[in-house]
Amino acid sequence: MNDERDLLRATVDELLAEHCTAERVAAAARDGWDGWDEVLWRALEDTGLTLAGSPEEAGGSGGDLTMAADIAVAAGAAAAPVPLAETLAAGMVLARAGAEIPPGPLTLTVASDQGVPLRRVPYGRLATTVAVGSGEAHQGFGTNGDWLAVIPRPAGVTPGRNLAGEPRDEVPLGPGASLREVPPGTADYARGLLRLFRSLLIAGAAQRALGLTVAYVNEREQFGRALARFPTVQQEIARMAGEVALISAATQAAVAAEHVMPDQIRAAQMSAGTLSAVVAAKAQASDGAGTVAAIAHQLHGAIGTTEEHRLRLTTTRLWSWRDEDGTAAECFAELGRAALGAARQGGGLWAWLASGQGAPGA
Amino acid sequence: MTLLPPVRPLPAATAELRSAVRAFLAQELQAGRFVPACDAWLSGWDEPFSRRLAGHGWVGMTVPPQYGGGGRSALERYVVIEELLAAGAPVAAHWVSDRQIVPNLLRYGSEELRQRYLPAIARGECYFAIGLSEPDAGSDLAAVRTAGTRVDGGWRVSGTKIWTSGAHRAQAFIVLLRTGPPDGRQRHVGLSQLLIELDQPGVTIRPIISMTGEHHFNEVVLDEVFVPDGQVVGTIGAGWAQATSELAYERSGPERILSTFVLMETLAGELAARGRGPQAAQALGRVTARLWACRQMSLAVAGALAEGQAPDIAAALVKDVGTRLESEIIDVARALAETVPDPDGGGIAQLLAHAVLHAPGFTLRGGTNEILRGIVARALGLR
Repeated sequence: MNDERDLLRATVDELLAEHCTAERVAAAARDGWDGWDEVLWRALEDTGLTLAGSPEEAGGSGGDLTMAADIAVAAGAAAAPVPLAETLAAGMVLARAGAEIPPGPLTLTVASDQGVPLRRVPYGRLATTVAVGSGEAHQGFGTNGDWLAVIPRPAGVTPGRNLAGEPRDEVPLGPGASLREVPPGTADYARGLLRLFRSLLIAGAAQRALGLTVAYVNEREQFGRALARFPTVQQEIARMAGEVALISAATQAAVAAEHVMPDQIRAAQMSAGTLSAVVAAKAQASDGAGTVAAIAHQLHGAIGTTEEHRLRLTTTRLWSWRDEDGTAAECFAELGRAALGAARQGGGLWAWLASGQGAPGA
Repeated sequence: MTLLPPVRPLPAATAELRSAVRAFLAQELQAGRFVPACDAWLSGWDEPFSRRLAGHGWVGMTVPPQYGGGGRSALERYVVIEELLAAGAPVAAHWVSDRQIVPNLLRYGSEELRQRYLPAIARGECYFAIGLSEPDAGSDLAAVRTAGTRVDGGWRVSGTKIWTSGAHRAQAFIVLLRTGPPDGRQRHVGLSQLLIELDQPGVTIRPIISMTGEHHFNEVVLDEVFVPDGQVVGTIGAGWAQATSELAYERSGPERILSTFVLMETLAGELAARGRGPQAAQALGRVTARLWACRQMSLAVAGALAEGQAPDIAAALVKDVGTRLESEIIDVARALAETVPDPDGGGIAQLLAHAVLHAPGFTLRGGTNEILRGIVARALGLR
């Protein structure tokens, strides 16, 4: 696309490839590792990649959402065992709310969706938790409008994990947290960013699953020839590629839609019932993730199901991420309700579907 | 491994054009001049409609002004055709002329051919068919046996073309044929393209009636038809490259996504009026997400094509996922519509009947999905 963007992508890929070996990704999830790879985190932090997309005056490292999105896709592809996407998203929410971005790893959660204590917070045990909510949340926490709480690496975290062994922890919203009122729409913004970044991680992991599977069928021989020579195998690889491309298209379009949308327009569009590209992208990413993982495993055969094989580091993430920050079913239902709303109005389904893409008024 | 060109929004300037097309379609509907139908780019042959559309400059849009067109961009054409397809408008008469013949003649046609055909196409008056498939050359297109023998001033052509949509109403077709021997196993050598008028001695057009009872397809038999040198498209011997160079357009356009959209729109309208429960919203949401994502893919390919790239793999992927979606929409409608398909039922029952009977064609035309998936797999490095 452009040189600067290609250079950034190459830099990120190289750094992640160096650190995210199968051994180290697997080790991060083992007992005694605290669920992450601190050496990788330091390396990322040193380059400023962890706060790309947040303005420098707020404590970020500058750049735009496209840059942050590229980093998240790379993190998903590498199965990077660090709260990279989480920190990128939390930084953007803090900056938008006018709050200072604290140093170190961050994580983001929407309290009014999760309840209190905050449940299944990614990397909650080791990151500063940024919790956003609307209205009353818990014993005096919260206000009439949107609020934001910064909870420095709290005591009393109850550890949990997802299918990939990534930390998903219960975090108390206690006296250590600092609370502030934030502009209306902050909670919706945070919810959208969580969905968007989870979708980008899925997009990266789906690409990786395809790459691993293409390599495997080219190298594995049965009946005296490579699996790649079998037409049935070729058909499945292409079907997988179709799903990977759909996820990629959906997430790129969601980034573009978010990127060009100032807050006032976002608010106006939400009330006008414009299609939410982020919800559509998460729906598509969550839906396709299962197909991609299933074909990857089918073509890898039994070896792919072992702890030793690299594939499971990617597929266990796909199976976790598809249900985090909005399941496919939730996103389908939300989209479907919006579609029915559009159909009820004069413009109909098509005008709504094509909205934001050279549509009237867009 | 890059599967997809970058996704980008359509130019903002296309918004006005989109509004104009919508206003035109609303007027047409209000005046009762067409009935929205599924797969109307195959079945909706309506010459007056094509001419009215051309009156707005929306047929042969990319034809340069010196050949009577508007000189609009490929992305502007994209906006117009997706609006027409989404509305189920009857665009079949000019479809092939607009999609294939214009780019083909602009790229390969002689000045004489351009002058003769492009202005008529842009007026919505000149309709073409496609002369690729033969009884023994379907997926294996390079097996075409229609052949031209060199004679004084041109070619004497004999052979049989099949699945020739609209040949009984079209003025001409561009035929892929053998004008020279293959080079050993290199079967793509020795193929050429000739533009052949259909209303002339030696051309016999036999109808092939579809299971819907409709007549779209034909068998076209060419018996010693004389084709003057002036009707050669491009270069003798370069037919394969010429015929396949436009396939990315054909495979990745909105017609690979929207053939059943009218059914989806009607279903959504009925569900909205009836107030259906959460399961209906979820099922509709699933195809909505997929349709939206397919459209982003299609737009990514269109953007790359507009920049002169040849994103063949992405185009093949659009056709595979898009045409399967067209059938998934039928299944969602069957599950939620509370009616059975009825060819005489009117409303959603009739749309459903039409869609079910047309569906097998979605994944066949333009290269079967299995062949396309083979192409994708090889491009990904499978051997």
